Amino acid sequence: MLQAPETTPVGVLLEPFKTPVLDRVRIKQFTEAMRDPNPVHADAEFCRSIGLPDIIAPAGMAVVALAHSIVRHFGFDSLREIDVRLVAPTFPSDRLTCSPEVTDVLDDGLEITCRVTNESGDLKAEGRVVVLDRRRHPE
Amino acid sequence: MTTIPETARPNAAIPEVGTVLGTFDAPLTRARVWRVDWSVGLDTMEYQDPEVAREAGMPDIPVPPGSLVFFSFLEDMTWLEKTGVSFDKSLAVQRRLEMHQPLYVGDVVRGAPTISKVDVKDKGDKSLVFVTVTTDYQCDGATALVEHVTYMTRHPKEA
Repeated sequence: MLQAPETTPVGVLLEPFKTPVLDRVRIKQFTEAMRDPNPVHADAEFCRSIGLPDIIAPAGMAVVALAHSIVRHFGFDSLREIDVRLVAPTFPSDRLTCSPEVTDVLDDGLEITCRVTNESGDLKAEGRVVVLDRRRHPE
Repeated sequence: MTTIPETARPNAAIPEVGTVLGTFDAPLTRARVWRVDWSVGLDTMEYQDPEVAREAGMPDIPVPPGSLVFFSFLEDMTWLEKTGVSFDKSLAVQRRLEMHQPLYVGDVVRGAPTISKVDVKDKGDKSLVFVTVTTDYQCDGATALVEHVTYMTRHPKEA
């Protein structure tokens, strides 16, 4: 686990998390692990028939990456709530960067917002996360 | 956005709030966690090595938050018909997760995903139907996670 900043005032930027390039092999592995039946994750021809240029990654890949970008700073059991708006599809060859920022200090934790972008800076997802701040509330 | 009253549904294509999509009891397997871990490139050893996880005070490898979704556990595909979700007209647009307790490899989760909300928004020559499926993942008799997934489906307006 990374060390969270000593203080976490509003506006602190946490170290971003970058996924590997989400190529077809990784998309296939994730899709099979999730038993996702949607052909948009596997069948390029189907995708073109509905106006997509290629297969797209399951939305869960962005959600897992976003959650992990917080967990690696605050610990696996720190998460209380994640609310993710899925903005745009992720395509093979996209590499996602999750950039968390502390946006509020709550009674028992922190509110963190996180943008998920590809290497061109296109927004793919954005989320609001609530974490328990164990430095203020140890077990 | 308009919430459709239970008693005033405009047509049969609109899903019914309260519909249960199925039930499941499912073990969370190491193979599943490892595939998720590898595919997204998670860089925490606790996801990969049970010994590292145990040294960190966990009973086994933790399940990455966000890696559970209700349809993974349903035995059949009738949830598609019940929600009105179709692969050529629908997109997942939002996921909200409420964490109550961590889940680990070896845990068995029980759930009954249910349609919890249906909204319709008029958009020019089509309607957008937003269906939210809520799943309360129970583990050892207690809620571990509540998941809300919202799908948007495009419907052409009737003449």
